[in-house]
Amino acid sequence: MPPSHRFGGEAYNDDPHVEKECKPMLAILIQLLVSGIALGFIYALVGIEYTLVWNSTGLLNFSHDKLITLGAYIFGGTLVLGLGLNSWLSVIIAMIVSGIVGALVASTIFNPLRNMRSTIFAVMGTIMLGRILYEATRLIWGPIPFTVPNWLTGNVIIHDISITKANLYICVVSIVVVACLQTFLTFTKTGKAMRCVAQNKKAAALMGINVSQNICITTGISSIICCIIGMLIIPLFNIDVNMASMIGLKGFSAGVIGGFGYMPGAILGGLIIGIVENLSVAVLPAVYKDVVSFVLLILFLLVRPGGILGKKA
Amino acid sequence: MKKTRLTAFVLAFCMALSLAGCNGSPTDSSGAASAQASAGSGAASSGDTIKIGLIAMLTGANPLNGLRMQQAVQLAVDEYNDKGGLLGKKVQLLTEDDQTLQDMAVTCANKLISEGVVGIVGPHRSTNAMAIEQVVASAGVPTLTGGTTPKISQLNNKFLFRCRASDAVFAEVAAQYAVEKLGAKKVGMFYNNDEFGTGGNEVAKAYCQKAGVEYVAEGHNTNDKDFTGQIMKMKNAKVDAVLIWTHDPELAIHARQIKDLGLNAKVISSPGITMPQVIEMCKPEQIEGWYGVTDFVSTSTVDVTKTFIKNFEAKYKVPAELYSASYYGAAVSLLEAIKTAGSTDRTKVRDALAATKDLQVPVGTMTTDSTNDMVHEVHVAKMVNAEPVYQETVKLQ
Repeated sequence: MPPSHRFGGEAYNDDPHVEKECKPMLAILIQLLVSGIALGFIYALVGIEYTLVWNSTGLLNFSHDKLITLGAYIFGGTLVLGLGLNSWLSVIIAMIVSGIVGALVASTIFNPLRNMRSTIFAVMGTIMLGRILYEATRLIWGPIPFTVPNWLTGNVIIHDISITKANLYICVVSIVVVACLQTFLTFTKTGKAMRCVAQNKKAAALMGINVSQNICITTGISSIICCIIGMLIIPLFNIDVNMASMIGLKGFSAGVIGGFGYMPGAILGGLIIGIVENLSVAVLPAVYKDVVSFVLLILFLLVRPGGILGKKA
Repeated sequence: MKKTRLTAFVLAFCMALSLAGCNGSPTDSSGAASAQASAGSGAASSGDTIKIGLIAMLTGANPLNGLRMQQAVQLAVDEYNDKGGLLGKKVQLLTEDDQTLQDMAVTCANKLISEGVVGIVGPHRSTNAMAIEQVVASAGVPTLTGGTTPKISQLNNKFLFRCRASDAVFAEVAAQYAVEKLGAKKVGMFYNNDEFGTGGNEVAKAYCQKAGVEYVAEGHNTNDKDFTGQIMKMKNAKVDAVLIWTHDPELAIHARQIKDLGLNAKVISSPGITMPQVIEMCKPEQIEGWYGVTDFVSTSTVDVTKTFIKNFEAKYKVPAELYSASYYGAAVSLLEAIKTAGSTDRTKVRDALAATKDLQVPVGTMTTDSTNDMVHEVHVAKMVNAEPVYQETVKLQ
């Protein structure tokens, strides 16, 4: 082997230009930070929809990543590409359909099964639902991944930093979703009822709140958020049956790290995971990106199970 | 409580039913019917035909690919029969459906062997080929698979042949093309961290070391959706050419991000980039000027390939693609071997297959080597306006 190539594998570490290249290194860091923040918002949204259902029913919806995928398929596969509808009309229809699907999930799984002896019945129900949705998407839309042309595509270049427009949309839409949700929970009667149900189902029922109906509404809202996530990630992830499996898990981690069952916690947790895992690429080989987020999850479970903003351990 | 339990039971029952429905429905497709039809006619045929078998995935996850395999092999059989058959007899094709499942592949192989086929074409997946490997070896039936894992070469199975180039050939040709034809002084590699990707990475790394060219590799996992880190590192390393060795979904995302992040390097990709499903996921400008190594380019200028494409389209009214081209070649090599052997004795046919030399088929030139690999060359295509355009055929020394 010629001596000049002995270190072929680490060529960029002992590059003679390395001193002149602090600027590119900074560019890498900023670039990673940008995509980290955008992914962080996605994890945060996943954490929020997870938390909504958890607070309302005391159950985890293990089919939520499939609901994200379903939202993307309904929007991209059926409405835009299948029926050729206008994108923004499709967004509204997809959200309505997802809301109905969510309410159906609540009335067929959560409500009948939540009062069984063990929560395992309802949890198994959602796992099974996930499998059904997975196979159904594969059978209806086929196993070949595809994308929606010209949907939130393009990028902005600011001082050598390329920002995908989809990332900007993700940040803006996430903030809008969180603000709307917060307003809804604070100022509307239904929202207040949802918070009552989250605090104490028995007391809420005694106060005249229809708990089952309330769970339907909450799960419907959570499913609409799933659909929004699905539509937002199409330009980044493309549409494929496994598109949401990893963000589903990371959203769960976001909840744990931020403080499970507490919405600001999910947002903080999501951003932390997104940024930390992306910046880790600068020092570690990129294949370990997922390892970093899950090590973070395990560390929090061991050291601070209540999460950063959690009230008690 | 009783009512809740009853509801739970009914729900569980519904789920079980819908799951059963999911599994059951693909078998209703027309492919299954045609498979059964041809298998049925096989059992009824007399002794003056030469039977060859085909194991194809007519149902299951990739039914369209299986259908193309069947059409291509049938085309080859028909062409021989039109020319008067083989050894004075008509050739008859028996098709079995393995549903891309390993256990079904074993059942299909056993069935075909018991029906007295001279040789078997298929199955397509490497895993399925490995599953039937012992069955065909002990029965002594020459079998031609299109599975591309390098492991098949290490089996030392005298009866298992490979009718396409192995993954190792693809990766070496890609690296060789980058260095020799595109003049790269520093080669980068984005590889999937699975068997396919790491295999490609090893081969390309070994080639670059031998050629004295700097080599930088960055891995990723299947289902990863963001490659900012890898691409930025590669940009910082200032590579002239970059190879991408991964599967379709990841490849499409690489295309978008390489363009967005402005990595200026020549790109040579694993075969996926020449396939319509990947091209449709990319914008034409994202992959403009990319190179792809592949078995089959529809714009090939090689005569055998052009004739095959014309005949296939004339007969089935659909364009020829990778699966039809690969298995047409497999069928032709098997039929040629029967002709050369002058007999339907399976061992003699095997020996003739092992002695195949310079046979022109749509995927290249077939010359069997000591590990029963028949194809040692692949084609390079360049993406021009979202169309793979044939550049040249690269043969390994």
